[in-house]
Amino acid sequence: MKSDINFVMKTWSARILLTVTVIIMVLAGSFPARGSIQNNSVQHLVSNSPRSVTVTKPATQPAEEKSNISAVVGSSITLRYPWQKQSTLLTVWNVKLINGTNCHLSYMSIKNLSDTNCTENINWFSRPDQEYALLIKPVQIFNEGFYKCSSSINEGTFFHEYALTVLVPPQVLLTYGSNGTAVCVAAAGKPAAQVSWGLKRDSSTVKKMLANGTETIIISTYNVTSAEENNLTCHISHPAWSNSLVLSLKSGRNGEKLKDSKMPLLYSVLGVILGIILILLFIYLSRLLYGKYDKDLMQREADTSKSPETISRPSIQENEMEPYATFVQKENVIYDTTFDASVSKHFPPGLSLST
Amino acid sequence: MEAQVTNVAKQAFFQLRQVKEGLCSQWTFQGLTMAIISILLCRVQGAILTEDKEVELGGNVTLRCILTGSFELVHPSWKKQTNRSSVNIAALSQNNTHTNEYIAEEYRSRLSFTSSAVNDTAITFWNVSISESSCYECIFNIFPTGPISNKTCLLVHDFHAFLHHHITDGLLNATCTATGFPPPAISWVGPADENNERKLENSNGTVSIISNILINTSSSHYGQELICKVRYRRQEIDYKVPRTEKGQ
Repeated sequence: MKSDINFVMKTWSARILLTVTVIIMVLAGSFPARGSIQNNSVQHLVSNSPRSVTVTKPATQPAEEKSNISAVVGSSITLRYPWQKQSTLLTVWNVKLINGTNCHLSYMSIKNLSDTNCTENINWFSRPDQEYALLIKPVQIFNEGFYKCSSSINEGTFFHEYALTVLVPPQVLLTYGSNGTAVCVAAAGKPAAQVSWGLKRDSSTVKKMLANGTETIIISTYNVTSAEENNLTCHISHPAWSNSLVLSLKSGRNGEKLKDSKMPLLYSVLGVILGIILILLFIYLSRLLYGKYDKDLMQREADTSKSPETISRPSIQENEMEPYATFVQKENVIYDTTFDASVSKHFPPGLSLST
Repeated sequence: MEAQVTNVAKQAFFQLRQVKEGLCSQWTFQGLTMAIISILLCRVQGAILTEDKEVELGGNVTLRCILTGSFELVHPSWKKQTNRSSVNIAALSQNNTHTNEYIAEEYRSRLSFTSSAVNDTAITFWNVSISESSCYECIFNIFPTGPISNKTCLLVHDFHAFLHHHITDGLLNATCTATGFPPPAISWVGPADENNERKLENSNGTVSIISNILINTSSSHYGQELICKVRYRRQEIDYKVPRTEKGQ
């Protein structure tokens, strides 16, 4: 009877432990693991999840206007037709890309004719007979340029031009350079990122423009003094980001320890470590539990012939045991294959068949 | 190609008519130049031929644009360019059965289409005012390549000037008044004891420059030549103050 209570308690504690582990794993997973340690440096690749942007102009008064818009590469952008749709005879989007290519999307309503010679990612938002908006999906670097919408109606011709700038977030790196310098790099951003050091410091910043003019590398070098080594931060701002990015470089005993001030890396690592510890604890406990259970079971089997009133007990326990045992086996297939074998080895023939 | 030939013929006729109407030699020259250009450009698909115009205040004037080449759909429309943007003033649209002419409300009494051909559009202003002095954009809406346009500018001009002088209380008072559009300018040649100038903007859009000069009849330089010089559109017109005898 005492051993039963002990068993139930262990089962519950194992379940609670499992739940806690799962929660922590989920929480750890929710922090995007955006940092990765490479060559004693933090390579921080800002996740560029595609966003959808819609540009709308008030459609009250036909206006001949120009608007400047920007879109992050990989996102999608909708350029709205800025006037009332009714009675339009001809709608044309004339696209002049900065690489020199031109294309058009046209729709003639009286003949219900449409025509386009643009690349696949520049198209009507839906169907031209329903909606005259233009959709760029996904936005590519070469999509930068001018998108002029013209509308011919009975009352004349109306124009609206959108100047689209494509933003490319830079890849950033903070590392120790030679001769006790710290180097902060923001590469391949468009436009070039702004790089500065946490406190006002003498640093040298070099801007390199790549051949195609769209990619820039900003290299900022700073001479580190021993007093400042503990808290060295590099601030990178870019129009593709709503907030500027702060990279920290921390000096430790074994060279460099790195910390991202935005903390997701730390949270992720801590979460994973905690998760592993709990899983190990859980495995240990379940092994302990099964060992105990095996002993109990053997004891009972031996007792069965002696006292008929205990016959029903193993079946109850078996029912209680079943989902738990299944889970352990499934869970640990990936984790520890040898453990699986050891569990089945300890099971009595009848029970292992039932699982 | 047929359309192009038709255009050339139309153009030539247009020019000929101008010659017949006995317009000055400057116009004939312009017409000939345009005819030559039009012949050259007719080989180019989608070129728009037009020319700038000048007209006296209150006169009539026609602005014209000819599109070379033949296209699927052409909706000619005219826009007036203002300081910051441009506004639609006239448009021609056609569906399967009829052609629809649109003239903006404020122009209905003094503007009309004088050519309703889709690739040869002409609008005529009647009794032009100074406010019509502007550049106009003619647009041909083409399927599928989109609208193409060209610009023609209209200058409405007006000019008159006069000189008035009188001597009272030993002072010669000469006033030179020049009214016109584009605004004229006044300068004086000769001595002056006092000079002032005013600028007035008239309700019809013209500008008046009123320049006044005072000379003491007892002064030594009185009796020298006095001329009001009015500059208007690269011309200079002299208005001489009649010589008056000293001490008069």
